[in-house]
Amino acid sequence: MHGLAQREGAIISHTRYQKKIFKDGRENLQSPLICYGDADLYICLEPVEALRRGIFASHKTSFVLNSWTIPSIMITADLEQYPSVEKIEEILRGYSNEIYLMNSTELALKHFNSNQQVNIIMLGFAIPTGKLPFIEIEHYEEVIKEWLRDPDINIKALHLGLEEGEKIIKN
Amino acid sequence: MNFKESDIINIVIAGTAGQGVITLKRLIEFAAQKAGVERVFGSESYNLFQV
Repeated sequence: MHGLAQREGAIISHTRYQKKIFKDGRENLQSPLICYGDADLYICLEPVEALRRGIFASHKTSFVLNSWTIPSIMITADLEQYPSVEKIEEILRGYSNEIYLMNSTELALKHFNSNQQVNIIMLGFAIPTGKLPFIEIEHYEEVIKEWLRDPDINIKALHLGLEEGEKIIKN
Repeated sequence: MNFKESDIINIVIAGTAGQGVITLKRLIEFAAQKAGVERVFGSESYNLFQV
């Protein structure tokens, strides 16, 4: 896939896991797609993207949002208006009370002088919600070391997100 | 919230192209495998532009 970033294409992914599987296959995870209203955790790297696939959210969903906005082409062309982050938060409160916002892009720019670490900061931010069970921080660190460039910077970003997330989520 | 080992955990990651959505998704999946999770599934959808 090429050229998506120039047009701010919307990307969505579903991740599903089950720690232990049953002998009876009917009890097990079988599909890669989440049912409507069944998301436990919603990590949004851009606020309006949270609304785009809100159908997967429900009262049990925890939202972690990066509050840094990226206006789409219709907004930069002045054909539509970008909703305020407060309005987005208000709409999401219709689903769940667990909505946590942090400006991860600003944090990344401040600490790393780059916005490439935003996704890893958001991962750290999501961990204190408790909606990523059975995975320890060491497991993320191992994967970062094996798979990502600049692992030291990315591990720092993970811990930065975790620290900031704990402050926001536990208050 | 306490999850049981038999529970299915559902995570949605959303963003715009270039923000690292797919990298983040794969990172979580690989970390889950390292944590001994027995079944991990994922899916991705791409849109060329947005309105």
